[in-house]
Amino acid sequence: MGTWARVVVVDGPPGALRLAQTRIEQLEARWSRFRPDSEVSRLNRSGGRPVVVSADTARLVDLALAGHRGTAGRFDPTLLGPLVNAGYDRLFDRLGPIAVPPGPGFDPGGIGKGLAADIVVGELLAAGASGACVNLGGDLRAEGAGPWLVDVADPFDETGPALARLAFDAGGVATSSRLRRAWTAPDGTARHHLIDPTTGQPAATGVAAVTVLTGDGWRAEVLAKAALLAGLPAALDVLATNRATGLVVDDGGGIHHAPGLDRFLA
Amino acid sequence: MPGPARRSRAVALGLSVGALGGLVTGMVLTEHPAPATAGATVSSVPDPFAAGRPATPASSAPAPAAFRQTITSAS
Repeated sequence: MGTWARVVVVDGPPGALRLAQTRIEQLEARWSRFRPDSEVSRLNRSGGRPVVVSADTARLVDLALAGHRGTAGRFDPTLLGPLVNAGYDRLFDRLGPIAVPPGPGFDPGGIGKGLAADIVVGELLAAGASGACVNLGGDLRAEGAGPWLVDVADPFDETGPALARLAFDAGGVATSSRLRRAWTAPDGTARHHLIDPTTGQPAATGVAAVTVLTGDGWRAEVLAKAALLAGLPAALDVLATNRATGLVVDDGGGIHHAPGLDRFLA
Repeated sequence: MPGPARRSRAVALGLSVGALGGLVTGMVLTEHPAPATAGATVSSVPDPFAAGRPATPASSAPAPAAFRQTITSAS
């Protein structure tokens, strides 16, 4: 997943941390676009032919599609539009091999990190831990033995004072920012990795970063991207209408709280 | 086993449910009774995005030694 991982287990069984590390490594091996033998890489090379995948990967694709539908297409891991147009637009009662149409490729990106955090926390709790937090590069899920505290970094000064401190017993948190993975094109224009699927260009919505708090890590990631692409004030509505809250930082550094955030401020 | 129409749709979607189903390993396949009439394989599973839960607010004040994670701009 190209990032760091931090795992906290409360009252876990022997070997809990090792279990978490092994599982994260397994999901990385299945979902990384940068490993030629990963299931995602095999899907992207398949040229539209069905590929047998694990239940983890089938779930990842299902949830990515659900996120695409639920955000009116704002969340789009590169080719979900073509994937939906190809007809894979709903859940099925059986899962078999998956086919990805030829194109630029399926990029699990942030939703992979959020879902991995959800999966590992769920398995740690099922193994007997009273609480767990899995943080994968800033996309995290925490549950049990709360409250958990999360400091939200200032996207313009990540080493400076936190913008907010969240407190919750169970939830997932994710941040999308156009300030990360940004570069300057040869023509001098500023570029970043958050592409507006309606234009195919880096999004310019007046929003610098969005942090989302909701029940699951994968939904937090989907909603963070969707809210950033929606711009203000629509970003706040995106969160409020999807059982989520959070905060939006505009390009001028202004901070906008989504409805309900007060209940989670420590 | 899926009926003809069901298989036809699956193949059209690139999801070879019937013939290749046995190759799927490591997956939990939930068996459902075949519908009375052959047709789409759409299940009644709620949409996972729409059915998502909100976060649970803290039920008590954080202890001084409460766990803390500092997040940075991620993805």
